[in-house]
Amino acid sequence: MIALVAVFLATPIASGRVLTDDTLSGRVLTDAVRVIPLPKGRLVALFHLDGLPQDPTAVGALMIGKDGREWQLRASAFVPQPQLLAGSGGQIYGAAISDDEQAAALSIGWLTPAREGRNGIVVLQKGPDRLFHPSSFVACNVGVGDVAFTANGDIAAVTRFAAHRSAVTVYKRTGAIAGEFFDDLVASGRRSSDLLMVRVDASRYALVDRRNGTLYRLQIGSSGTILGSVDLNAGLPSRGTLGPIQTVAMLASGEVLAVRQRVNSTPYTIVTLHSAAKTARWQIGRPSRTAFWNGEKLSIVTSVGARPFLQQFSLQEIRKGATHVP
Amino acid sequence: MRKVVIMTLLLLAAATSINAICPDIGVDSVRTIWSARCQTECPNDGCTGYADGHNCATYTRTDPCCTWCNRFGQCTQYYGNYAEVTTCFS
Repeated sequence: MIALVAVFLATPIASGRVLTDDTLSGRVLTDAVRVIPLPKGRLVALFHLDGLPQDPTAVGALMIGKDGREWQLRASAFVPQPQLLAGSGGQIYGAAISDDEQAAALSIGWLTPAREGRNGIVVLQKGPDRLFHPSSFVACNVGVGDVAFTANGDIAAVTRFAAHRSAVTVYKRTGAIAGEFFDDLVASGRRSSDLLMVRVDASRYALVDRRNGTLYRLQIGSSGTILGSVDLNAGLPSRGTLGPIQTVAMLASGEVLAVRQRVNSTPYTIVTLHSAAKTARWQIGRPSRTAFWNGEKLSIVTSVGARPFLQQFSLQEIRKGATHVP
Repeated sequence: MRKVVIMTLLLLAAATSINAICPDIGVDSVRTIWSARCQTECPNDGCTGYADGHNCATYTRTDPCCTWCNRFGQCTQYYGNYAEVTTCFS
């Protein structure tokens, strides 16, 4: 009861809006299992695809431009039909756009007609029509996850499969492997989908183990260096169930922003702000369906009854609402 | 007066016709986001037609990635079980 009252009192009174049919991207974001922010205000929403009995785990994507244009993407559209199990949709795991905005990458997986899993990265180049079109394909022999372009245009990908292989592999666009890094960095039993990767600047990246809440600061160039780690569990309730981290962002201030849900009888959202000196924590009294940081604001999709509700918070609002964790 | 009556009848007929070929498909699943947008003509991006997204649109595809028009009058992709997916994006 005390916990209930505490959560209620901690519920921020912030502006928000109910997402309706008329909110073009609202329903998409509500339904998304994950939202990946990309340059120039683009968002990629990943969502489960219904109605594919051959492929109940299919994941599609919707690329949402800041100008309102939307592009529906399915892994199966990038795979030659003879290599694809009929009636399957495949999975889109991650997306990235290069620094010069001339290339994009989508990490995908699919099933062959023999029901064997395949993974790879579709590389797209911007054409004279200013649209990204498929130009090459990088085959990955292991499960692939998040992708990010490096400063020199290579593609860094999360390539963790159970206890096997490196956590991050850097590929040339030709498909050649430029480097395999961090072999034993994350706990065994992790798969690519358990890890989030965010590029921070020219050479630094953040790799997050969503299951145990550890963020690794990495430098990836001709070699891979571990710069340190952050315990994103710091200051969180030791009892109860913490859901996987929904989103993480490395802020210009050097702080790390993370969002997760506490899953118990009264689920709610936990926003944490970590710096070298301290950790601050903020509870939002509604469970977050998904969350993402677009560089300016934190967007959290929650519910009011059965209706989806979007709340957006600036860093200033988060700092104001958060309390220091001893 | 007769002209006014005829014009009104013609306009009514046109509106009825649009509704007839372009019914509100409603929200039959979470993934069906288009509804009641049939009567908005899309002027942009070389995409003309009606912003409906389902079996009633008449449109011209000059943009290779354009399948439908959204409510902003821009080419977009339909999102749902009737989806037409694309391999390009901007």
